[in-house]
Amino acid sequence: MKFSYALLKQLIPKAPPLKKIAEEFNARSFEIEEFEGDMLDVKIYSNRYSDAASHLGIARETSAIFGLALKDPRASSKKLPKQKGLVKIKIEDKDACIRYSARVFDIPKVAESPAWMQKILRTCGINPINGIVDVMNYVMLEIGQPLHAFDAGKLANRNGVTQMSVRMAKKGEKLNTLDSQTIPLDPDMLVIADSEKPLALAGIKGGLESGVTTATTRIIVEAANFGSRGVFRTSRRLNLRTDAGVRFEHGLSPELVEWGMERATSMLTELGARLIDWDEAYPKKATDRIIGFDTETYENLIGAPVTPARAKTIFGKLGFVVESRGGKSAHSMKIKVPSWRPDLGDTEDLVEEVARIEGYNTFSPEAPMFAIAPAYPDDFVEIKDAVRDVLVAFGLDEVYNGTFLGPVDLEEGKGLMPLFQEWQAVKVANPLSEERSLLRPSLSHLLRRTVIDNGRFFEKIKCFEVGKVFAMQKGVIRERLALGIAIAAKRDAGVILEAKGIVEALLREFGVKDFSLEERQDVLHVSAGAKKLGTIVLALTGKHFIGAFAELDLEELIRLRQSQKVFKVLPRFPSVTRDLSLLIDASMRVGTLMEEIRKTNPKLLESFELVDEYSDSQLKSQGKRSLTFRFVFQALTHTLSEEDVNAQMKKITNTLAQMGVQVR
Amino acid sequence: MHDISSLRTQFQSDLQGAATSDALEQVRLRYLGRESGELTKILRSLKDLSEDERRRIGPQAQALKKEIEEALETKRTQISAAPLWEVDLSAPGRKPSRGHLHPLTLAQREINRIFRDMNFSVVESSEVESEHYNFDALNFAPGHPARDVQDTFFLEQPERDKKDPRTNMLLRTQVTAMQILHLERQKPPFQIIYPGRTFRNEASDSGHESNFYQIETMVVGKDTTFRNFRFILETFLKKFLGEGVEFRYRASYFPFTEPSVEVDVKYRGKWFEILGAGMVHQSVFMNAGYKKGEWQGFAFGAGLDRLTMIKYDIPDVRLFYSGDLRLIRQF
Repeated sequence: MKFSYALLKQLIPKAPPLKKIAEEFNARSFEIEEFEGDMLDVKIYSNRYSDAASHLGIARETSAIFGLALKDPRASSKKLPKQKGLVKIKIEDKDACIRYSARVFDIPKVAESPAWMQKILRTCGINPINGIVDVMNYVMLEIGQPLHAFDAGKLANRNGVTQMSVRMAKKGEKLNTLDSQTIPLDPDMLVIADSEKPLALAGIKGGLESGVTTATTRIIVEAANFGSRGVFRTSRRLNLRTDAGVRFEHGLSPELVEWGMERATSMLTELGARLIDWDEAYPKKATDRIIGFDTETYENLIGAPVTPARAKTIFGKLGFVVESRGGKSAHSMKIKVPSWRPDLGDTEDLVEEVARIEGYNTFSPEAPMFAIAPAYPDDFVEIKDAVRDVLVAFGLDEVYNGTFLGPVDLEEGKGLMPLFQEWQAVKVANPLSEERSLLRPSLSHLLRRTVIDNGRFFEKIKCFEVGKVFAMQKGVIRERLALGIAIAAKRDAGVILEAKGIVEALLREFGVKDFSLEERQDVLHVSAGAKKLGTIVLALTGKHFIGAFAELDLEELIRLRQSQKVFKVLPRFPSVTRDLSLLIDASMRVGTLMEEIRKTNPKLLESFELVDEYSDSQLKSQGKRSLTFRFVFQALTHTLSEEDVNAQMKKITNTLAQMGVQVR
Repeated sequence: MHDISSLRTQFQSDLQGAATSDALEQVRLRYLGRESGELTKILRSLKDLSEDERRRIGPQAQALKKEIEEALETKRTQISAAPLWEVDLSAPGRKPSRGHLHPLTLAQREINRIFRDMNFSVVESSEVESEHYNFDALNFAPGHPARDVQDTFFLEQPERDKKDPRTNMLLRTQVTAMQILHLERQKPPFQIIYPGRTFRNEASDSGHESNFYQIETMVVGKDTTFRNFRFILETFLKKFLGEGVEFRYRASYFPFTEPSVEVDVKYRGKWFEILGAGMVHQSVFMNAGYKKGEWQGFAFGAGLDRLTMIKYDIPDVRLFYSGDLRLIRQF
């Protein structure tokens, strides 16, 4: 919110230079976002509009911080003339309008406002219009109470009485505003109306027809208080932000109505206006509150002491009254908090007022005392750290992708398989764009983009991501912690075997028992026992890049993980290794072959691995390829004899012969 | 048997074939070995020859012996001067393959470590949260502009009541819901740090993304004070950004803290806001089911992305979510 240093100086004659004010304000009251020349832009916190969205409020803060005298612009209430009944106010919705005050003035010819006032208006971002409207706006800037002036001659009157109602609009009613827009109204919006039609959108904007012009001779000044929720709702509905609306929607105190009206009366009178009549409706009066303050409570919360005298000084400067028949002891007191500080409700609020004026930068740090109760373990945090370390050790890079994607990404990644069954994508109700209108159901979709984007710079990409994925299942939004792995290279479908190896090694590292990676329709399904862990699929990503994408359920992995490793006795006797080179039909599947070998269940076979695959043009033309397996036999109780091993190898080669596999 | 010249030829070919000092020794034994060396045998047999033969063969044999010894010596020197291994030590080292953690992970781990060293627990909660836990339970008044400040992403749920804050789901705008969630599941005193991804409906630029990370801490005890907060925060700032880090406190406002402050840090000569903090509002404790005034504490929340940008001098937050491996491989 923009303020004028010139006006501030009127209220605080001894105000320090703008730079000094900005520094101290930042520390002790509000953030000064920028300042230049006469203008300072202050960020008023949302609970302080009532007292501080005005030069009076800013001056009050300045006075409290620097200990300077404040020249209060508020005029004292003068005796009002006897009511003539020219204007009658009726508030129809007492929650939407808490107080409404109207005064009728006869005015001399409407002229331009003086140069000094125009300058201040402009600094604060308001355009000067004419001498009357400018006074309304000036008082708003100075006191913080929005005011509005109606041309009395344009309002409907019956037998000389102008009826002003504060009511909800009726269906079908319209309002032409001062900037020539036509607003369609509905029963959710509060309006000021005469007996015929709406005159203004309450607290937000005035109507065109009833506005003050150079031809106006009699005005009705409105100073009112409107409920914040209604103004907030209407302003957002119509997307209409005004200086008045912004103040009301944050909640103003009804006490400001009186100050604003008296100040406006004083200024108009100086210009030659005559107060003719008035009316006011104030059904539920706001009250001052008494809040207790105790220096011991203060010290208990802040950790530093304050003397009762110092606290009293600060409260005084902020405009609070210290009750003479105060608290029960020397360090407690009762503070009468004015109604124009609706943000203050309890003793912590008062602690804050004292602490900020003292200055947060002045309190020295002090180490707290903590109990050595063991820290609370979090499974998600632990599994993420463990997975990251393992995969980085395997040579993969970690990426972070965004949470949002679009229908196009889902379409392009059709072969990819999220963890969810029978799901729909979660839609964002107010997305930034179509491309970011859904929540990612898997990590693979965006890892696919990662591969495409990095394909320009790298020949081989090995990366992973740990993160949350989302889906809608039966009307409920599900969130799951997932692991996505992408291994990609140019023209090499072998990347899926690499991904397979990584997943197997990861599961082994986590001690997961009985896991398997089963092939079903070109997808590897990863499971452990009966639990589904995820999938690995191949997808073409961009020019010539083939990527293998693994999507695993980390929450399931938490349950299956055995982090405790168990020692296996070291063999005392030597093992025997036999290599077997085989010639197989190119169409025979390695997995099937290995399964058959496993089924022969050779005794004392510690392990067997595929150690080589070979093919050349000659073999290809014969429709064959060569595989080499390494068999390791180990006995724990004795040294194996050649005969023992030979017998087992014979079992294996017999089975292989039956499958039509040649030993080379 | 006494053919010296053919013996010489034989020796020369054997010598050429000897590449190691072991092989060379074999050659020496073959010709000059005490028992069965060819030349040794010849020299020993000289006494059985006639004087004419002795006068002819003797000097030849002696000359060959000298030749062989010299040749062996020369080759021995050559072999020992040759490098032990066939490799060029000046060639560049072979790069080991390694993966890289994302800079946000590195920053997060360092921060977690700093706090774990002060006996804080690291905990996490969900990214999809209800309006109740994200706002209402944290003292944000309904229909109030304070909620506007955090532009929220709401999620479409055709079968749920959007007016009920407990079933109106959104993407969390802050991780602060954890304050209530943790108070509901663990009785104070405790110290926790809870990082997580958060979401704001703002246009992206070099300083803002629609999804980003926050870290928040909360300390609750019987007599936890503002000065304690300064201690914990400053310990963290100094360890994470260096002993010489410059910082300042400013008065602020949050619905869930009272008093409230914001903290700026100086980076490249300018002040940058990095976190909001304050003493936890008693409403938060009451909304979690505790009696007013029973406990007190402080909380502070910072943007992890911004802290990481300051620490590593990275100019654009969007780089973190670009998946660009050229960035990640730098760390």
